[in-house]
Amino acid sequence: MRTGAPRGQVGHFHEAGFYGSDAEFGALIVPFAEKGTAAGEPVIIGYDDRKSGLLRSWLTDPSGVEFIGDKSLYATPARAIATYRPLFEFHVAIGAEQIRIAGDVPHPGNGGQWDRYESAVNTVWEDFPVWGLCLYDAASAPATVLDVVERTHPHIVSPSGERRASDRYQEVSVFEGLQSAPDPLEESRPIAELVNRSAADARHALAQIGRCRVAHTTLEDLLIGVSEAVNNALRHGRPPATVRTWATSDRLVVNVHDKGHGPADRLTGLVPASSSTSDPGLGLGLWVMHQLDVDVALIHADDGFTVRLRGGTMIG
Amino acid sequence: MTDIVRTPEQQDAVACYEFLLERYTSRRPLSAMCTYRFELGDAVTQCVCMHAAVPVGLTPFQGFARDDGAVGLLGEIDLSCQVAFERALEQVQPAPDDSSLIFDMSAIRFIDHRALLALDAYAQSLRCR
Repeated sequence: MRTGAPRGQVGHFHEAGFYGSDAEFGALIVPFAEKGTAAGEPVIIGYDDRKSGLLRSWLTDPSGVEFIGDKSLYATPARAIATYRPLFEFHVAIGAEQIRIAGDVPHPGNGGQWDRYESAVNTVWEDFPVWGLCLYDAASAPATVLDVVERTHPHIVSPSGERRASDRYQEVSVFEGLQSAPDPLEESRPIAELVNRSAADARHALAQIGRCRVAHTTLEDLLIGVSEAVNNALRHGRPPATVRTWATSDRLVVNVHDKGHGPADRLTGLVPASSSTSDPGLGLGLWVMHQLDVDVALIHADDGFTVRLRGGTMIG
Repeated sequence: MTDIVRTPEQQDAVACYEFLLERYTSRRPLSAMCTYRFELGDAVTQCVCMHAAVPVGLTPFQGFARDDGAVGLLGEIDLSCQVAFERALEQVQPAPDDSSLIFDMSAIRFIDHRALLALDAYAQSLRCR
């Protein structure tokens, strides 16, 4: 039986809390963890070193909590989902009736599609008895982020322990995500522009432009990303498929644009697309792209759909 | 060769023949030159990709038998040539006296997840034979 606020509920109980100090952070996270371990429920924590250290010092018995030390856990939204899912499957398989998780969703800028992540996990984890507690620093998070948090979490908890339903919650199917801010480089003339050329041509051009500007691994990730984006544009988009590349001495921005509407599924890229065929590779392209160590943005606009890939020294 | 690769069935049969001939010539003092007309379109890729020596740019990838028993993979494999790659894999077979089959991918310049999944499926199918 589930304990705490989700008692009697099924699926993912997605809750947000706001704190303004370490003391308020502790008031939110300590009872969440201690009551979970006391009930014999797995408690999984994905905080950075500082917050994990604080929590360890506050807990009566930190050994009952599973701290995920992997700093890449929240590197990308798709990777966080891919990491958590097998953990949930494992705990359910060994009899867990509830799994409590709390992690550090990057929230100073909440860029990089974390708004989509917070919305998507309401659906993606619906098959698991998960209690996800997402704590946000109200002092440092921008107002736009706090706004997204209220619209992506059905439940809100305060440091005093008071709980309420979020009256601003938006279901995944109608969630209005943040607009991706334009990259300043996009204002300038691209260093290269390819129209209706093959993915191989796009890779070759990018390999030539990117060499010595960004790390080799970053360039390889960008090559995988541009390859998938171009193949998608050619196969599923509306022509012309245009690849524009901008570059500085340490940064690359690549836009793959077509005139179509882009994928309609709100979960695109965050999870492998469901497929009604027996082809295991179908629907994986955008998900693979979102596993890479580069910034990926899916931009829907009146003039079409753009996949923007950025690698190297990020600004802002 | 052109007239014997007009149909998909002929192409598969000849691609298999080309793979086996490549294995034979790689180990014996025999050289062969196969010529195809460009009018065949994709069929050229299907049959030519099984050769070790191919004019630059003629096929996006090559998968051919080597004298050490391995299969050499060269070039770039993405969605645009996925069907050709999967058809090529169907013609690859271990030598009768080899208990394992090695794909040497050290000279692959690009390979996407679909091609890797196809290789995995091929390995699974070999185990079932």
